[in-house]
Amino acid sequence: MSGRPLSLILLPALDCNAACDYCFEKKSRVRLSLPDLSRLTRSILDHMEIMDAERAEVYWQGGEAMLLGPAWYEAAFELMEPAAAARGRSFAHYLQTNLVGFGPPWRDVIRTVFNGSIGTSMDYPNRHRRLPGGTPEQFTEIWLRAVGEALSAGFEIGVIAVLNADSLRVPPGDFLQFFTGQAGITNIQVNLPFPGGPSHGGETLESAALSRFLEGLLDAWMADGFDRGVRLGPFEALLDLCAGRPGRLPCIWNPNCANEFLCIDARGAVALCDCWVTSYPRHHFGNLFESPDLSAMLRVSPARRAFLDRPTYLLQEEGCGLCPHLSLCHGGCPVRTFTAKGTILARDPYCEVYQALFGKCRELAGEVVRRRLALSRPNQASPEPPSRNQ
Amino acid sequence: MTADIGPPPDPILSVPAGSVDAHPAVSLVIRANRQEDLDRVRGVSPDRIVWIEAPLDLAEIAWPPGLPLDVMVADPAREAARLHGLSRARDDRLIRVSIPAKAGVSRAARIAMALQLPVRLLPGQPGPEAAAELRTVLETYLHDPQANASVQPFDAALEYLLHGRPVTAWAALELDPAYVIRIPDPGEPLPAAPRPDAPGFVAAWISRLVFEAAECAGCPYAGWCAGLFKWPDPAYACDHIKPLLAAIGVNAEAIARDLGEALDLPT
Repeated sequence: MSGRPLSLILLPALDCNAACDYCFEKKSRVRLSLPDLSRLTRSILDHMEIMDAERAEVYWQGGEAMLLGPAWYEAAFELMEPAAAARGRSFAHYLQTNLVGFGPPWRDVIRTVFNGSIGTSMDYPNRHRRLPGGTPEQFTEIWLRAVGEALSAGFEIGVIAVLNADSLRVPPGDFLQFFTGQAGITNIQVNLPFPGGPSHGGETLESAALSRFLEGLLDAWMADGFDRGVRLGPFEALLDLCAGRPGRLPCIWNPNCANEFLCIDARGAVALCDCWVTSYPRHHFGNLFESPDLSAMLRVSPARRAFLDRPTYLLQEEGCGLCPHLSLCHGGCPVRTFTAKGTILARDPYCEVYQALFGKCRELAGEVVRRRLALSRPNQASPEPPSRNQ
Repeated sequence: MTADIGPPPDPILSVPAGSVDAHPAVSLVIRANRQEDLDRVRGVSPDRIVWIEAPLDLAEIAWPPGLPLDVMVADPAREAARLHGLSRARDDRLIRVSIPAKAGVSRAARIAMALQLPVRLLPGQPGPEAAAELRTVLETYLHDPQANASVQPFDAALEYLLHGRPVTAWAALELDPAYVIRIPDPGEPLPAAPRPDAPGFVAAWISRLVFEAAECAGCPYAGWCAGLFKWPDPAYACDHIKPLLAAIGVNAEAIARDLGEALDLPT
């Protein structure tokens, strides 16, 4: 069987207990029922059989994934695992949550279903994440408390931090300190905002200021973080790759994310990733409750074909074919491009930022080799789950 | 296929798909040019197929699972961007991209290298523009840390200059008839004499060039090149080729130094 896993984002709840200003998802009070999950599982396993994939990585997101409660995930696990095993396949489950609903009842399911690992999101400074009617400060407090509880319970936590205009005004060292010191998290991934769906506050950031911040953050991490094992994405994978080591880049820099990812929501809608599935129905690949043959859907979907053809267009028409960083980028993220420029047939709006970052990482590659040698620790990039962008 | 130290006892045959039935017992490189050739390929036992050679337009048809595919680029300038579409198929099978050294070769090669696909550069007798493009490919090959798949003949040249590994450019490019004998397509004009289709050809060719006092006689790279760039026209001047090989030589020396220093590092 193929060693390549199927990467799948599942959105079992399209509503959320938070009211973040910049959320790119169009919410609705729809949740996935277990009978419908059973139908989806059949379709997914049929597709895995056709693509000869032994394993699927399932990223449970929302809306807010925890709204379904721990018992629902236990039942989902009981349903999916034997179905996969009966066909000689397996699922690896990952959870992405705002942690608002986290508490002791979740502990068993985090251990058994999610292998003791939780993915969450927070920004610094937090300007957009809030509960309905609440303030970002209140939300941060709730989140920090939940993180503390989860860490005390022995869970591993990875955080996605989306930058905002105010992030660029704080010293990068303070940014890092908030996550590693105040929150106690040592696995951080920095993401760049985009103005998708009904949001406000996720506007594309100005390139020069953003580049300065990211380069400063890279320096801050190298000065105080790298040597003590703090993982900072996407820098860590970039540095490893520039040093000739294996590394797994986030989806924005995959050769073609349409080859790698799929997203299915609680209504059965299939699209490239969560933003597309919740907010841009014209870009859906189809609906699995209407046409359960996922492989056939992917084969004939004009929307998917457009995504698949995007890098070729960029190489031909947008200059990416001449870029010295082609092997790292391939034209960047379609959703960031679409939400900033109204088309996927253009370079990622953060192109200049990426180029600055790639250049800086190439410069630092030798230093990384020396440090890794001195630390004599194994490369940690490859066996980890993929660094997702959302 | 790898061009290992010695030629195999029975050379592989490179045949048009239409004539596979005429060669029932040997290992084959099957040259497919049309969708209909798929059935011919399916009729051959997979363990006899070393490569399927096919144009880019046929790269994603339903070739038998797992068989290696050599994508033959005809017009690099026109086809370069579309090579990126191979990112879909590269997880299903080994894919190599063979690119002639003509306009667009650097773009095509860099795109294939960005996807970590092995590349076979078919140099022929390149003019100054094509040689300049090969230099660009060489720079990417030598200095882009992401360029970690094989690029022939650079791989073989580097191994020769670094380790003295005696694989000629002919063998590395699978053009040595001691390794692969090419059966022409029906009606294909025969190459100029001497024809490179008999075992022993490469040794005879370089001997002849040296005997005739071609520039190979005093060339430091002749042991590796074996007159590849002098074929078919022995009068071809290697002015644009030698700097490429010299650059590989300089890097081979630097790598040898680095390796020496690395061995001295504490473990």
